[in-house]
Amino acid sequence: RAYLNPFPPPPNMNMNMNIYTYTYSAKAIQATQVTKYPMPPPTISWPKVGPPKFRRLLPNQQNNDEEKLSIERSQTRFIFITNLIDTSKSVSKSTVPVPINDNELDPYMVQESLRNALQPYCISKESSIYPLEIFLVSNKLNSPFKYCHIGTRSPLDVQSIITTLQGKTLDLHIGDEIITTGNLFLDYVSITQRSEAKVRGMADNDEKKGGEAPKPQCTSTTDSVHVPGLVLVPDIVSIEEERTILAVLTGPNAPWAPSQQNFSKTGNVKRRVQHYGYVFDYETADVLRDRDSSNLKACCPPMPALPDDACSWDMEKLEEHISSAISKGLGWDTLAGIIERVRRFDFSINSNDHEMSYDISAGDSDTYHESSKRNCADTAITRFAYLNQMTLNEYKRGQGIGSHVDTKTAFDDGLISVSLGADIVMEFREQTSGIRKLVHLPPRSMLLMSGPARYSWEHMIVSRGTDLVNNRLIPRQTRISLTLRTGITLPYEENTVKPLDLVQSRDFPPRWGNIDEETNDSGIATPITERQHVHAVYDAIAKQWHHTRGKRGVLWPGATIFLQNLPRGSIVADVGCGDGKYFPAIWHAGSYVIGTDISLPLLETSVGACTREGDEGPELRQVSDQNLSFNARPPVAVADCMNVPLRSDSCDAAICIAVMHHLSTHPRRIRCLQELARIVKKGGTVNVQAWAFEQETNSRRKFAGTDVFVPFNSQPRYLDKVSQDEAKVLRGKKNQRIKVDQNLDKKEASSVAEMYSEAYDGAEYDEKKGLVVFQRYCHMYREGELESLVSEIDNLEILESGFET
Amino acid sequence: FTLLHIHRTHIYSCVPNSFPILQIHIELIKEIKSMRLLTHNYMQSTVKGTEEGYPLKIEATKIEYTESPFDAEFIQALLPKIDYKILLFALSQISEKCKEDLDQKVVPELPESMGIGNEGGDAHVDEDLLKKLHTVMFDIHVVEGDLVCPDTGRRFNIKMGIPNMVLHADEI
Repeated sequence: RAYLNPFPPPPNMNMNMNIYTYTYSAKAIQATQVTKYPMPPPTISWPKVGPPKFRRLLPNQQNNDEEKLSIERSQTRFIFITNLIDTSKSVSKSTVPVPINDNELDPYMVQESLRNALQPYCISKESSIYPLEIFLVSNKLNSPFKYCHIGTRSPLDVQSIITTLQGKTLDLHIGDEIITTGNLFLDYVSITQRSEAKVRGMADNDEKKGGEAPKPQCTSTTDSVHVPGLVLVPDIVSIEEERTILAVLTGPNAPWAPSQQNFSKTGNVKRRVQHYGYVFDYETADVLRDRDSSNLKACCPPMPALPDDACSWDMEKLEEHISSAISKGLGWDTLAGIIERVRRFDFSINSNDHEMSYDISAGDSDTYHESSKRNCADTAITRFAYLNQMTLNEYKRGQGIGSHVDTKTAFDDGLISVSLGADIVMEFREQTSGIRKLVHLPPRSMLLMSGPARYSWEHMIVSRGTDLVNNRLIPRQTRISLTLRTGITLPYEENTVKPLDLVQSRDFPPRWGNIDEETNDSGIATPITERQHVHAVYDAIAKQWHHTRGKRGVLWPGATIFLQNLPRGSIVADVGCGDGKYFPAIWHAGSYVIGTDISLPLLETSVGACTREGDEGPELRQVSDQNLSFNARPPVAVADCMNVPLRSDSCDAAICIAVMHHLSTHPRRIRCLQELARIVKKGGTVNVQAWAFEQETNSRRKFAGTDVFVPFNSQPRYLDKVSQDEAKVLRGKKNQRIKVDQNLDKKEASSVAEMYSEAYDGAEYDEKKGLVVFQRYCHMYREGELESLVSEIDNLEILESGFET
Repeated sequence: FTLLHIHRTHIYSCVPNSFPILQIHIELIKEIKSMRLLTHNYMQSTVKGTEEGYPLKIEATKIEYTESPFDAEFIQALLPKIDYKILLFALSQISEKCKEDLDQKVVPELPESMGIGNEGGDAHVDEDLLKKLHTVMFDIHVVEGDLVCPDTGRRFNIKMGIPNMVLHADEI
């Protein structure tokens, strides 16, 4: 059901003005109508969402309070009128509102005609000052008005109108036509208390107070609204492409902007963002054009680049490049290819929006600079070849972005947003009239905002947990949006807009400004990524790791065979021994092992981990009585594999299992291999194993990229830093809204999730599963990569290499 | 009997400083970590500025003795791999502490040389010596203390038997 604005147009307005007027929504539905009538000035402001709810003042069978009812009826100022349609005549002559074209009926004209027809019957003083409010209702957008509600200014008017018009017909002068209603039936109605409260004194009820999220809106009914210049292109990115670029955009090496830089006029931007090419400064709402590295704020990675000859590639070659990059797990190259695909996309041919030719005279400028590929007047821009700035936004569940128009002087026409990872509903609002359009953006779709959509319609994403799309509730999930824009130079002159220089690079990981990590001479110091996503993670999950992998005794076959074949009495170094799960195999072989690992908690789990032979327990963890003494006191030390504290040429053999894939730089990988070579005597053997990028031989299954985050789902009971009792209490309070008092010195977490994310930096609590998810950094080795690393080391020679499962 | 308190996740044990040598029942696993002298044999410091970095000096504050089963063959096989001088050095480092913490009879005296040359020949060492070597290499445990780099003096702490050899950023 749709309501029109009940207010009459103010006098002396130019009726030919092409202004839109807003409408209301009833219940959860919103529709828009377009009219030539200008917007009335606000007197009483009925809430845009939630018009008054009317109820007929009829005698209640249960409640025979006749007296109360008659008092109400005498005090109400609202009337219900039905039978506006004369059913004896044909429908086409009734009060049918249709979309506005010249010479057809305008619903506001119908409204006006009703007002004019009823006004003479008003007798109160107030009615001469304030005109009648007409609440027109229709069940479908284009169906006749069968009934409506009237709002008078005084109960006297109500009585007068009802007594005089009951059962009579009215002639409505709509435009040039005269339409006669049927025999009208009138009745007393009132509005509910809530509606009353909204009217009295609360001017703008749109803003929800107290953090209560607005209810989801339905997008299907804004189908009729047309936002000129808005084009949605589904499936611009394939599922594989999405997976690959998400791995590089949200994986290790992702260049998140430092949070203290995200100040906007309304406060800190809580979403995580990344900028490429040029930084977009939320404080000044402008692009920072000077990439001079002395200003930290203006520093950001360059745009991803294709090979130099890419300008001459045809589309087939481009797509080939993209596929090849995916199969090699090169996310940065894939991203470069996809951006180029967007640059070359022809919106006029490929879009479903047929009305690309909009009237740009309604916008700001009529003519555009010739060299920027714009055409004059009627035809719209079809390609955006100068995209030179990209901002990545991460929208977690409940996050949104305030209503805004992108700064005119910062970016040229043509903003393109690519949605990855999840669905979302974006809201568009026309600046002068307030008309709203809700657009559902599926993942892997691309949205173009050009012309009016870019300059005169604001866009926003409401912060809430679900969206309603075509009657389906879609819960919000983490969505990554890539906004591609064309940054332009200053000073801004409408006719001579010039794009900024394209700053791009093929290098990955991207480097920029002063945000390099401290470089030391050797280049093997522990990088932050490894500290947070390897060392800290294993320290935290040590107990569960040992219980699930160590105790079960799942040994990598190649390593096991290697160890079993060692001659008795060998001295074996286990670099990165973890919980010592290979120790029993070494002891069985009659050799002596010295294990080192960076994680003390993991080493501590190695003590007493084995059982006696024949006892219950995994066979691979069983040891003879003799070796139980080793087991009781395993020979281990805490050490970094960059500096193994063993004498050169002291060991007969060494193993390094599942360690190399946690090393994030080339120097570190080389150094680890060098250390292994150093501690093993000449003629000795080393066994190195690490995760492969290709997950199945002769198959297409691969990791999304070569450097990825591999999640580890940890059960809270294994984690030390969080008190289980506290967690229990908070879990019980899950459904209550708890406000965190930010003035308290002592940090009190308001939810279990917060408790864990504070205790374990970088871990996320999955509420649904009740698990704490850690992200482990892993570098997956492509075929031949380990071999080529070894070949860089003089005194190591490959005896055997390959895949194993 | 020594009273042991075995806890599922945290490992404690109560051991008085001096106690008679007892054959400890293997099923009661003493969950104490420790560093054996055999392990020490292979270790070195890699601090920036070291020349050799070994043998590491041992400054023990707590030493324990745990007898373990003797395997002559195993010791025999290990012999060529051990640096005997370092072993003697290690023993001399901790001998004072041993006298404090352990019973005199436990710590054997080792000869100046093992009697096998560096040619790596298959010379058999007599069983008596093997037993002594076993005790020294396997059964004496440094539970608390420090390892000290002979060149730079850098100390590496041993706690609960695990030496911490991780270098600081400026020592790499």
